[in-house]
Amino acid sequence: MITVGIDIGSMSADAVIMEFAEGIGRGKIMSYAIIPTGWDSAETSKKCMDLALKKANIKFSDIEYIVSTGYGRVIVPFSNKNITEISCHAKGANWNFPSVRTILDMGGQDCKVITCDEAGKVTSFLMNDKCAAGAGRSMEIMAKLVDVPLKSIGEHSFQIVDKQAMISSTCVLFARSEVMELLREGVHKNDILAGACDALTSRVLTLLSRTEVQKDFAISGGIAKNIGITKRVEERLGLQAKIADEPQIIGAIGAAVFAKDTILKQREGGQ
Amino acid sequence: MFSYFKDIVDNRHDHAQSLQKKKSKKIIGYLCSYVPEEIIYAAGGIPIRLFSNEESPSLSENFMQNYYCTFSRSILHQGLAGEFDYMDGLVTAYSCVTMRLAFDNFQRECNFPYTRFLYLPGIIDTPDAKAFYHKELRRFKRDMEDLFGRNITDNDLRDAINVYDENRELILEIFKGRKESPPNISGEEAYLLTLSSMLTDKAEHNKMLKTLIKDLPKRKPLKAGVNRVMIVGSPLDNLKLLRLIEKDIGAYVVTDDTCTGTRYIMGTTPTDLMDKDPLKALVQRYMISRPPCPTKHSPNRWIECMTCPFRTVSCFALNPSPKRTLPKSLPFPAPERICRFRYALQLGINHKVEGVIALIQKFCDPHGYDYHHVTQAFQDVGIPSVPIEIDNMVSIGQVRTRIEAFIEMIQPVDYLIEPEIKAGVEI
Repeated sequence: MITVGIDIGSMSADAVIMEFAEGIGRGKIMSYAIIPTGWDSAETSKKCMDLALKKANIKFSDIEYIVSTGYGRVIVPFSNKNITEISCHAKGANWNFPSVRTILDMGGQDCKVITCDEAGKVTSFLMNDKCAAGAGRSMEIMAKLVDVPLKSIGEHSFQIVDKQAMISSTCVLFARSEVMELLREGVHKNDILAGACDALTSRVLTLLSRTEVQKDFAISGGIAKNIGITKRVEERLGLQAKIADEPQIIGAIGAAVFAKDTILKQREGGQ
Repeated sequence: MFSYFKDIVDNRHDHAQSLQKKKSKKIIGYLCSYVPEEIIYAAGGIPIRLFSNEESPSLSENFMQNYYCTFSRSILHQGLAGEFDYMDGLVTAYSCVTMRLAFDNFQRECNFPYTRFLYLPGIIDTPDAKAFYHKELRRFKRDMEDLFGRNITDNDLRDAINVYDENRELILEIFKGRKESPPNISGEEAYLLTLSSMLTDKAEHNKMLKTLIKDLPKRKPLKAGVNRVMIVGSPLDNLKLLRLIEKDIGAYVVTDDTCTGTRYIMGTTPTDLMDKDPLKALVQRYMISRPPCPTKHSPNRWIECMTCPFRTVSCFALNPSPKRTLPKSLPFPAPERICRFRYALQLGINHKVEGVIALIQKFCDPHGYDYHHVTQAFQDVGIPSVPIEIDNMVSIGQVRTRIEAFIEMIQPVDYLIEPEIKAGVEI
């Protein structure tokens, strides 16, 4: 059976097409697509879906069930069901790494710590405050400010020239003016990025300290691609984090797995 | 069926003004559920509680910084905008500092014919506190006599207390049906009852409640097989949140521990004291019978836990006990009343809740302090909880995700533990 998980986040929209062999099976990813969310979530979801369909080389009618997730989950016009991204991230992380019990999801606008059981069912979760400090958006603003491509923030942040800069403001906008002040003082951009990564790590760790982090621990979401953050989190926790090849689509994978579960349940009910 | 109650809540000021005009009653606004409304009622006035609304509290900005809760700022804003100008007086009792600040600004900036701040002690269940508050209520009664230009006899007080007690009993009788599965009324409807009760003449309200009790069994039952949750936390007057939980997400709020909900109707006035001294009976009702608000915690709460009258069966039989041992002499007599956490836990267990939603007003210190302990008590019996920070301009997006994920997470609790911890209060 073919199912789709579509995650309309605050900053990016991700669609994953998955194929599950009849009966028991882990299933495999046929294709995925990631595009910026933009302002029209319904239109974006369609675009994202088309892109994934093209990559997988299948038709829309081949799909059996679609589950949507993320902030825009209710707007997706073609989804059969919507589930919160918290449940989906746990499910997706569980699909990738079955032993994982603690998941740190760092997205565009918020940051969550989720604990789950062996089936990938959420047992508890914590979310950061309403503002975007400690999330992808703040990193994007920093990168733009010092003119470093988003992808290479991590590398730059480890090549400290003088010493790591101190960024104490938790609010992104205040941090932005703090950074501008530092730039005026002639602080090297690598040092600033090191400071920014360190500040974000500290915020994430306060969130993590409110729960018991299990040894099998995964990081998902867009920021998991930034080694400047992940390495620092690992170092401070003293744990090796499990990170998928494409951590940004974990939520969408979870949604696709939920779609499969729903079909199986419906079939059981039908018999 | 609930249209009468909904109408009062939606058009509270029109309703109060019509009471004022048609029945020529004096309307006295109040800010806190600790205000002994019975005395105002006995004098012939109608006490009306002030609530927040969803407007941005811009007018209060000069007086209260935005690190105070929007509940109090919104109330002050409405006052400064002249929404309460029709009222004949304003009263509050000392509970939290933020409300006191709002009240102080009301006294300075608004032109109420009468204002009164009731000195309610911080520790309320000691003999000294009770004696002090008894004096304070005598003074308040004299104030009311001056304001209304008539004597308040003990019989007036007894009549008022009877009306209030009847109101509490009637609402409680309806609320008993919330223990069933599915509950007889939704959480939104329950809040409509308690909120409307604070906004109208209680005698009228009682009549409508009696009709409701008669009509309720004829109604089509609510949907079965829906998750049961409990709300704990700051004063909740925003029905939008309840609609979000019950209509959009799909879970019933079967009980709560908030001063705008179930806690408002808990605790009847002791009848033996009523015959002798009705004011003493009122002191007993507000200080002992009613479960306390977190601003009225004992500062020696750990000792309170150690001397808990329900100790053998209390939450601390399940919880690890406080780490220290009991000192030889106690700084205060052993508590008479039930502790907040024990009360909330009991309420939750009796209603078979599967999860607890802690709705905490942003910047609400008393409930922020409370959060850890109350959720811990629930955690110990296996009931999960989620903290939700709210203000009067609730941004639904994130709140929705949090609550929805929580509802996806919770599952039926094993209520086999029930007999072991069933003791204390019948709620």
